[in-house]
Parts: sequence; C-alpha cells; structure tokens
Amino acid sequence: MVFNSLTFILFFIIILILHNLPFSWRVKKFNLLIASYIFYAAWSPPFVILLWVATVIDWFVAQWMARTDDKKKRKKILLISLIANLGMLGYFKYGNFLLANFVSLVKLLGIDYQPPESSILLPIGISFYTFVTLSYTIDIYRKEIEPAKSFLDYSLLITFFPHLVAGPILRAAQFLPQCLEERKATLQQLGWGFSLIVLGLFDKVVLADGIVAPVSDAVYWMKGNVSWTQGWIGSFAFTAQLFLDFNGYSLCAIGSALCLGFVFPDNFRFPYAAIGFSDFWTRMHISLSSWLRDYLYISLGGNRKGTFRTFCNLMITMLLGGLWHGATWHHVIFGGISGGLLVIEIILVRYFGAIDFLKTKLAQFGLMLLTFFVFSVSLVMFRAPGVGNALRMYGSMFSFADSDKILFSNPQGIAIIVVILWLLTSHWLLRNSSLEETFSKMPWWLHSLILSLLIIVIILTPGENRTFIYFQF
Amino acid sequence: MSINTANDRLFKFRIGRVWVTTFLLVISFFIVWNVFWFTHYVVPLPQDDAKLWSYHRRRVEREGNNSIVLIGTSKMQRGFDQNKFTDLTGRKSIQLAIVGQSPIPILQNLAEEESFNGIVICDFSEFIVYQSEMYPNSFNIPNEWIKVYQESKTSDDFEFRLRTYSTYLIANPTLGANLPEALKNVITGKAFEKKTIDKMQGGVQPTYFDRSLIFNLDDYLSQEEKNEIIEKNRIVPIKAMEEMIEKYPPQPTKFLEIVRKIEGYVEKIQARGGKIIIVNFPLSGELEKLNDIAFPRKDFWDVFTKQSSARTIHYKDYPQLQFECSDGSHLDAKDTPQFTESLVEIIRKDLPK
Repeated sequence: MVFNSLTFILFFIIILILHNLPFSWRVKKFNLLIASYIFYAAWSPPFVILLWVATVIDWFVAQWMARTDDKKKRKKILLISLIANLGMLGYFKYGNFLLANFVSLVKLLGIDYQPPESSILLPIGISFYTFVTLSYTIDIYRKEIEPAKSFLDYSLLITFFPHLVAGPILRAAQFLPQCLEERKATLQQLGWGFSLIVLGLFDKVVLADGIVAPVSDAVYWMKGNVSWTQGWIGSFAFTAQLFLDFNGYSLCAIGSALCLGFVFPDNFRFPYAAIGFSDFWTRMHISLSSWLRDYLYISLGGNRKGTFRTFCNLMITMLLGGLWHGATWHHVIFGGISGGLLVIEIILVRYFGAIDFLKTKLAQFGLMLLTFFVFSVSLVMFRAPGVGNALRMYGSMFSFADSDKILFSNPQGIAIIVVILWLLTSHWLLRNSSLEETFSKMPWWLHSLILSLLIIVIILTPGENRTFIYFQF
Repeated sequence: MSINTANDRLFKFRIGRVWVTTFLLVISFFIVWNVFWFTHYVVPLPQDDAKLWSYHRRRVEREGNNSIVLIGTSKMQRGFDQNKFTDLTGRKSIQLAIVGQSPIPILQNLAEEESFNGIVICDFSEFIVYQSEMYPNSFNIPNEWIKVYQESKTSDDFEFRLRTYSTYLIANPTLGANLPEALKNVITGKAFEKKTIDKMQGGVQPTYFDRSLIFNLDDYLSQEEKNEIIEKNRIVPIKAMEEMIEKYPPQPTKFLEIVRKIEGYVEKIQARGGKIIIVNFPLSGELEKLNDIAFPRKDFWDVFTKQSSARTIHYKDYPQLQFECSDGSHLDAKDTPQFTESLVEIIRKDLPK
C-alpha cells in the first residue's frame, strides 16, 4: 500500500477512527500493529513472515544480551543478530548480484558456470527494517538503551506502518518511550499532520510524478545517445525527483504518525541549500546518514585515528551506503564518488577554509550552487540503469552532443527548469528555517488557500500511479 | 529524543478555520468543475488502458474453468453485447480484446496459464492477424498489458475499483498529454475548447467498466460528429489494409505458419478441457471487398478451418450473423444484441450448461 493511493486514504481513515475510540492503550497499539501488517501484506503477504522472523530474532537476542555483562559473550550474541539480519538482507537483496559477479569471476578463470535461474524477489522495505532492528541490538550491546519491556511495543517499533517500507529509519530510543503512555493527537498535531500529508502528496504526485519523473525516465531509458541539453535537463530532473519523491514520502510518514500522536524525526532539511557535502549529508536522508555515521563510521574509528584512517573510514562508509541503495556496481560507484567528494572537501577546507571571502553570502550561495551541480552530476551514476549507460550519459552531457530524437516537449523542459529554480530558491531561503516556521507566519486564510490549491492540483494531476523511488531499496 | 521533529516546532494555528475553509473551497471548486466538464462531453467513464485490462485478466485467474473470455479487437468490444450474453446464458463474460491488436499474444498468455481451461471466444480477422505478424513491434501493446497484469497484485483490484468510482465523483478530462502540457493548454484556453468524447477523454478509448467500448454514440454526439467518427473509422482500416497489401502481399504459406502457431495454443487449452471458438465478425462495403481480394477465403479462412481444432464460425456461413456495418468493420450499436443472440444460438452447445 502506498501513501499516494485511495486505498491508503480509506485505510488511514479507518485507523484514525479506531485510534480515537475509547479502547485501552494496549488494544490501540495492537490495532496499529495489525494495521501495519495489513499495510505491508497488501504488497506481498508471504513476506510478512520475514518481518516476523526479523522481529522475533532480535527480540530474543536483545533479551539474552541484557542478561549478561560479559563483553565477549555480548559480542557473540550481537554476532547472531548481525548474521541473521545481514544474512537475510544479503540473500534477498544481494543474492542475485553476488551470484552474477561470481559467474563473471569464474568465467575469467576459464570456467563456464551456469547457475540455475534465480527468482529471488526483493521484499519491500527490507533495507529499512533491517537497519531499525540492527540499531536496536547494537544500542543494547553498547548499553545505550535497555531492551524493550513489551514485545508489543518492540514489534510496533519495527512494523509501525508510516515508517515501515521507506523510513525515516527509527531508533528504539526515539520510539519506544512513546509507547509507554497513550498517544492521542492534539488538534494542533492532527491539523499539522494532515497539512504535512498534503504537502508530501503534492511533492510526490504533482511535482515528482507529474512533472519531473516523465522527463527523467525518458532521458535515462533512452537506448541511444541523447543531446547535451536533454542530458542536463534529464540529470537535473532526476536530482529534483529524488528529493521530491522521497521528501514527499517522508512528509506523509511524519504527518500520518503525527495524526496518530507519534513523533518521527526529520528526514530532510532543505538539502539543496547545502554548502559542501558534509553539510549536504546532514540534510539529505538524515535518518540513513546518521545511521551510517553512528553504526558504521564511528565503529570503524571515525576521525579518531588520523587523517588517512578518517579518509578510509569515509570511503568505506559511503561505498557501503551506495551498496545499501542497490545491489549494482553503479550504486557502489556512486557511493565511491560521494565518499571521494567528502574527502576532497575535507582537504579543500583544510587549505582554503580560512579565506574570508568564502564566508560572504555571495560565496556561500555560489558554493551551494556548486554543491547542487556536483551532486546532480554524481547522481547520473546512481540513476542510470548501468555503468555503461551512465558513462554514455556523461558523454552526452560533456560533449555538446546533438540528437534529433524528441524525448520531451518544450513545456516539459520549461517545467523542469521552473521546478529546479523553485527548489533552489525555496531551499536557500528556508535553509535555517522550517516548514512550521514558515506556516506559522502566515495568516490562516493563506494557509487554507495553499492547502486547497494543493489538494485540487493533487486530485487533478493526470498520470500513472508511480511507486516511491525508495521502495526499491 | 531528537529536537529535530515537526512536533517540537509545532505552532498554534486556527485548525478549525483552516481546515473547514479548505474543505469548503475544495468542494466548491469541484462542484463548478463538474458542472462545467459534464456539460462538455466528459462522462464518468474509465479509460480502456492496461490497468483496466489487467483487472479483467485477474478475473480470469479467479474464475478459472468457469470463465468465458472474449479476445480479439475492437470488433469484439463493440460487437459483442456482454449484457445480452449474460441474459441469454446466465454467465458473465470477460472482455480481453484490445483495440487494433492481434489476439495471438493474449491467446498465448491464456495457453501458458496452466490452470486455465475456460472458454475463449476469439474475434478473428485475417487482416489483423497477418498484419501483426508482418510489422515489427506490433505485439508491443498486448505484451505490455500482459506485463502490467503479471506485475499486478490482487490488492491492486481494490485500488482500481476505488479509482474507477472516483471518476463518477470528479470529471476527469484529458487537458494535455502530461501536466506541463495540460497547464499550457489551460493558460492558452485550448483546454476549454469543446471536443468530441474520444478526444476529451484522452488518446485512450473511453469504455464501460466491463471494457465494452462506447459504441452508442447517440448518447454523446451530434449527428454531424457521429458521421465524422464513422467516416474516420471507415477510412482508417481501408488505408491500413491497402498499405499492408503493398508492403507485404498476403501469402498463404506465411498464413499457414501463423495458423500453426495459433493451433499450438488452441491445442494446449483444449487439452486441459477448455474450448476455443473462433469467430470471423461481419465486414461491409469497401473493406469487405478489399478483404475478400487480399485474403481469398479458400486460401486463408478455409485453410485455417481445416488446420484448427477450434470451433470456427464465419459470418458469411450464417445469414443470421450478417449485418451492415456503418463504418465497414464494427457492428452498429442497434445490431449488437441481435448479433450476440444469434451467435449464442450457434455456439450454445459449446457453452457450459
């Protein structure tokens, strides 16, 4: 079930009604849990079992770990959780990738190995809920949190439908305390929660699916070469799509949780206003970036073991971050590029960071544009169907290539430029602010007028019902 | 807990006033919107696209050996009266024909579904079947629709139903090929020009929910507009047939290969207890003459009949199936109940009791 569906609207209305009926808190949590399984099963019922397996294993691992102070024993128990979770993720997400690479490798050695045809399906959201369960057991191993006292609360942490399939990636410390006392949205939470859902749907349905995705798809799925203008417009279109699609999902997730009285952390903070890549990754997909920082980068030693190790740790973290996004070499390369950009930035800041001019508003604006531009270029490797396609796309973008193929109309091309300008301007203006602050300064009628317009455009937007980009990860 | 949450930044606003006003504004807008568009040939109908087809294809999966499946082209969609069929037989049929497309990929898809052993009534046109084998990429649309079906889930049916019902609540005109085009057309006023139903509801054919195409144009069009559409529909197939004859003159040997391919699928389904009934639908006028010249019966249809283990019915062999088609290739709305009744009488012994 996706947020941009009528089924979800109906489902959510039923959940809201049930949540506000005079049941006990325990019954309400149970309702939410069942609803979350239905939400997940609407995609593929058998994979609910996988969700149960992940939930049950980490529940017992955590309880077992909490009973001992022996560090060695705790490490061994943690290992069970790591093997189980990463094993499932490895099999379902990386099985085909590993097999294909193994076949290529043995072929180099002159062995023609033909494996049986594999039909492994990727369970939706597995990368997200695996990270939630992993963070839970690692936090207990590090003694940062106590194991959950209630299996119901813990199951809800893993399964709660607003975050289940595409985040934000929750931490136990953020969510479990909210399960202790009854959550019921105040009128303000309800009103703003619905506003966030409308804003999220507008990002997804109108801007991402209605305007930018058709152009980006047309350019990236083009089998031959595209012209340089098509290449750049397609590349910027995907940069916009990535944010609008995923931010749309996150706003819907945060908004629907808020309508039920639950609080989720932010997942985006106007990332295209970032000045440099260190800043960028604190604004973009925050719950993943912070997960990778806390559980991978810091575990590897972070920046505590000298410059060279810091660079290595950054590269490893970003390469694995790339691999998390998809079991393909082009995702790994994208991770490598992202890591490389962070390393270059650290070196540049070391040598040029003290220059006063770089602290002026104008220079900061220029650096923001540069960050956006470089990220858009690196994203070609992320979006293209393969490394070869990405290289072909780079070839078109940087060679002033021409093409007589019409991939999109003039109004579509103009719309992309308008959306990009709108994104850059709004992110720049709001970079140290928030949606809440912006809306709080508005008169009530303007708030209402904006919501009305957005709802009308969402309902009238033509086009197919695309799923969210991050569902595939 | 992190301070970076929407809840921490929550601000006080007049929630009642904001949301009641929003609700009233949206409702008022759609009242005006509906009144405007429903008087401009926009009717609450779904579009005949891959999702609708996929929804009906899943019905075949559910109904299994009880299903009666209709495949072929728009001739089947316009010529076979599904309601009349239900009245006469007490059975519901499932419409899987696709406008202008060969039925072979659909037949293949049904043959490959091991559990399918229902009844298939196929509209067979020598021209469409032969042409599709000659031109590259001519199976793209049926294959794409089959793919949409294969990738769909049972839960999609519910969403599909809801979306279909919503078309009855809110007029859904096609203002442009995509959102930016629609915006441009709204700004230039082009979106509000009066158009005929087929243009207003997109390039995709508007249809009833059971996928019988809107053939009763009287309900929506003036006589002048109706004549224009009939004339267009009359000329298009003639031109297409002339072009094909010039490019790929029909050859009985090639046709025999196609017949054998079809027979493979027919045998597969019939071996499982299913039944295939192949019907050559009526043609009229210039198109009929051209068809008789391009595909002489003794070299094509009769060969097909001899080679096929399916039940084959040609309209020329049954006076009760002969009707005058205004546009040359589709039965007129007024004749479809009678045609369906006559066809049911002919095939009644093949239908389950």
